[in-house]
Amino acid sequence: MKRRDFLKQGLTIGVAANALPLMLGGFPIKALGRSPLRSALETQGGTNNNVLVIIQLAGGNDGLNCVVPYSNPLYKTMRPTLGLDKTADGLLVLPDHDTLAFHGGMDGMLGMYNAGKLALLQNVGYPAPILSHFRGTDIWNTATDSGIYSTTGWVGRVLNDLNPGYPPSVIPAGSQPLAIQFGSSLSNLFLGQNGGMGIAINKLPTTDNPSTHFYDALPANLTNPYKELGYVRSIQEEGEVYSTSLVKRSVNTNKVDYTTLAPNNTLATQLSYVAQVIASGFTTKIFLVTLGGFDTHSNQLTDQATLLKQLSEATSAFQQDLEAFGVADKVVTMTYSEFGRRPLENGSGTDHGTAAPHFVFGTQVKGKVYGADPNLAATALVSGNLAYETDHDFRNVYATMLNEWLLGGSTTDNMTEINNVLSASNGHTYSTTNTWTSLGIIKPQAGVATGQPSSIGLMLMQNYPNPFVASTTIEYALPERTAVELSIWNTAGEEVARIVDGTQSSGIHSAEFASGRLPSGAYIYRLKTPTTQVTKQMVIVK
Amino acid sequence: MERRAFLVGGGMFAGLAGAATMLPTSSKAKVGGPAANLLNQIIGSQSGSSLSRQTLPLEAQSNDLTPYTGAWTDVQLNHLLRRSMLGVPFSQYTTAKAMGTMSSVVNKLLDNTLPLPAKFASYLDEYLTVDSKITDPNLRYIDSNNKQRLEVMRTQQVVNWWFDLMVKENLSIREKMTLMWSNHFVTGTDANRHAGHAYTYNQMLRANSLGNLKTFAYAMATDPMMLVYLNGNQNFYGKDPMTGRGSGSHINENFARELMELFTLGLIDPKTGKPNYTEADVQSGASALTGWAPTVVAPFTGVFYPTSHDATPVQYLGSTLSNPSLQSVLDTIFGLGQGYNVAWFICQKIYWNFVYYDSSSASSQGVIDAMAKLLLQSNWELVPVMKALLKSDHFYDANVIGSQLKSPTNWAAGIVREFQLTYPAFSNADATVSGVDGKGINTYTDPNLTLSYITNSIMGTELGQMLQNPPNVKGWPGGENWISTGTFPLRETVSLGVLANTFDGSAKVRGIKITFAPLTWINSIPGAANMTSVQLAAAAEALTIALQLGPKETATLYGALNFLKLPETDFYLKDIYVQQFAELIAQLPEFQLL
Repeated sequence: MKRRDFLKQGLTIGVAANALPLMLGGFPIKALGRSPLRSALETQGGTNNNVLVIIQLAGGNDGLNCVVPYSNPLYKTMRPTLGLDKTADGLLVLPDHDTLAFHGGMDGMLGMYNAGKLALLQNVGYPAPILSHFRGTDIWNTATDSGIYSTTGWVGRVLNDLNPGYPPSVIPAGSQPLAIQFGSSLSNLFLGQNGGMGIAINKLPTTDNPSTHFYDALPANLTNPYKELGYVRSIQEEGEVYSTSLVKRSVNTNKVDYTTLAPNNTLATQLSYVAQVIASGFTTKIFLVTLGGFDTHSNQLTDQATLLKQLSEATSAFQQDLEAFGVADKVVTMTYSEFGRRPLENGSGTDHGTAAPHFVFGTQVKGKVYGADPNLAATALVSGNLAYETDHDFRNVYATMLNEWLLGGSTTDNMTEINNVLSASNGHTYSTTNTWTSLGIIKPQAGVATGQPSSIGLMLMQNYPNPFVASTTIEYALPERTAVELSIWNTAGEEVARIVDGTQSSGIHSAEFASGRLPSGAYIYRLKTPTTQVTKQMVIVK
Repeated sequence: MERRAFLVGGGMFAGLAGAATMLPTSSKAKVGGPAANLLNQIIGSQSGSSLSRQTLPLEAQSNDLTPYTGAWTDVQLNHLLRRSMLGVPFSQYTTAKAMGTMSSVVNKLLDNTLPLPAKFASYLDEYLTVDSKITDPNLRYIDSNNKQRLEVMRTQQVVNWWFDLMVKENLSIREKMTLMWSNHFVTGTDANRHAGHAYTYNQMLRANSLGNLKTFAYAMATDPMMLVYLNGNQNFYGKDPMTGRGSGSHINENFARELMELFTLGLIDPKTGKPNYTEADVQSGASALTGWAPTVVAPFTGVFYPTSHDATPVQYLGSTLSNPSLQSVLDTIFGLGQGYNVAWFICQKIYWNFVYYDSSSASSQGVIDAMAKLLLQSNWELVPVMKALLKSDHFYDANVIGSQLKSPTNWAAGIVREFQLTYPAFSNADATVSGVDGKGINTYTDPNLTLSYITNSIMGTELGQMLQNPPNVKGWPGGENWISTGTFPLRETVSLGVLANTFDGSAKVRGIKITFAPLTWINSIPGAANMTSVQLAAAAEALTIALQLGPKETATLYGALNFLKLPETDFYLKDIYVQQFAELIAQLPEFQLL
């Protein structure tokens, strides 16, 4: 079903009033319109604050020396020099799955596994695999079949769908990024129909430095130079809003000391930033961090050991940090890599391969091993490479993250919408398969009804912009048709304005408020019905 | 007035906000004529210096290499210079202007008979590799952490030397070509920390940058840096070339794959839309390429070891290589589709670098096709292709001028060249031991502290372009990727700091010294003595900004020089007016484009 048809068919009927928080990433729902995922979210009883952290293992992590089938005799045959030994190499055997062991440097991740917080997905891959780093990375980022090309990333499409209309012509002050990547240029993972849906930064900004612009309007028709000028200006303006929000974050130290880890752990540094942003209560849904260097054509024993130790130390410290901050229940982290490596070694390393194991962890994850041990039999290999497990097509992993985590449903709830976003949306086809599977690796989400719209009460949202000079918008939701008043009060307890007074239908409403001659200061706005009332504060700055 | 008080008083920063009326006045300086007069002067001075803002077609008009026959004004000349070099100093503009015609300037820029710069230090002949990829302990030469740290320091000097060459380059496209090739035939110093290899590789790129592509490919494939970076030295059959021991097959596919995917063919055949090669070709290519390894003593070069080579005939890209060798592999690759596939792939890369990073439009595709055919006709010589491109109507189209985002290197070298910044001269001295750190490992004094600050800290760590060390073998993605939420504010902060001489206090303490002399700079504009402030502003803008500015931007920018020419303006304020003007230029979003 095409998105437009979907919208026409009005799946959103009667749903609006059930929308829980009306803002995603700080953007008002009304300004953004409707879309399938968004509607699904609302049908579900509203969005949640769940966050997905994605770790890219760039270069192609060798799965067989990461999650080691040490007792399989074929493993040692294919890896005479690289094959790891249970005792000599200090492998960490999984207590409940003793045919597999983590690499000896991964005790942190073993700890998470033993605590039931880490899921190991075996043999993740896709049909007709590509062994190029760059095409392979694009396939994983854009979630396409191996023969289909796309300029949009799966996260970009999802964020697009959750926030149609983004970016607005002006990003309101105080907005928070929808997605943050640590790195110097934005990954195509975050590209949506209208360009970048997230921001790329090397580190958290410490000083906001908004400059005063003296832009002249762009010409009406954008030749390439003015198109690019528009791009630079948009980065400048967005960057200033988001940097300011990040500088003002409430948490700027960590609960765990990442500096005590083995040195040069760039992943740990990035994850320490992520923890601070999440602990500050940001509405940012997706984070992307990267650990590179996995292209171990040579010297694999040393190089991969260093990397896996970094991965394990960084992720377990991150998880502890989130728990210490008390925000761990809203964060799930997953790894991905463009491919696994060849079972047969080349002497000191391994060449490009195909399927590989991946990790998903967090307090809300049902930790265990999913899938079979890799099959090393000559008859099972495809051109010498590992076969992927059909259930573990990487798009099923994405579908799972969307369905069970970001939308907080059970294994089937939102799959129609998710299939559309992953496989065919906005007039593009990304996959000829349109029936992805939600793998059931996340615990049912408390507070989110599965399938049944939840009944909610009166909702009053924070006004935007806030603080404001001349005018601001207040959004609110009514559960049923009712008499309603929206009034503004000063701190002396006097009503200074009444902007709504009458009977309104159920659903989302918005009202504009002009400050007029009111002096600077804090004000209260109150939404009142015959049965209940809610208040919030706003600030006028003149 | 004290300079600091002046700045605090809102001069420089408040000046960003508005037009001439917001500029500070001193007891001596008087406000000039009405703003309207200023604007009229500006508009009068601008004709023919920048790209027009009027309504234009959204795609370039020429879709081939039809020569440009329009007027040869400063718009075209400055565009040619900005695209061919890393920033345009006034003096080089003057020289090029005096040449008179497009042809003479293009021919000068493409002169491929320039001698190579001399080897800058004898330590480049030493072999202190800390290459962890060479597993044989006899050959690792990692005799201590001290040498490892020294080698890192020396490798940094190769980059510093290169950046200094870029800054000092005359009217020539060579350093920009070298930069492009370093982002095509990619290697990385992270994977091969060896100053001698890094230097040899850099010179190999320069020597071939305007040469014959096929010769270039052979030189690249046998370059020591490349052999180590993509494990060519570990792709052998029989004896390990590095140790002279061993037997059997040790096929390492790394180089064989990237040779086709990234260096010559690309994944997809441009005419059929089908893959250019299969996984079997990667493996047979790797087999044919066995036996190459770098020398371990200077001069650094690739050597073929017959006892490490697998001579078994292979099927490769649809041909039988009965005597497989590097040359036969290259001949086969360069013969695919009668040579068109390689020619198209390389010309696309040239187009991305010198015209526009997005070649998806029909006119771009037409130009790339014409370039590829010309490259084949010229039997892989690059100069005729570059010549035709830089003289083409397409190259001077309004959709091309000002459309490229500056790379960090182009931006940094550009600021140095355009604003005539100075830094301590490049030193060829070796690093000296300065002490011992907490782990008992030597620390070294960097002989080129300021250059390292520019190339490593600013361009590399902050802005994402660590020269000779791209993030991966595909190189930097370029285009809009150069400007992100993280890097754009840093470009503003750094340029502001350098031009206001207020950059990074801790860097200054460490002895880093970058100097901007505003009045010297503005007075170096040819004929400056007899020009009005508006004319000076227009001359500086024409070289540094490719797009035509709008009225608000122009008024703000030009207003910064408003008092410069008044006789009663004191010297000190003149200095600040010019400095403020330079800062405003570098802060414009337009400054990021060329």
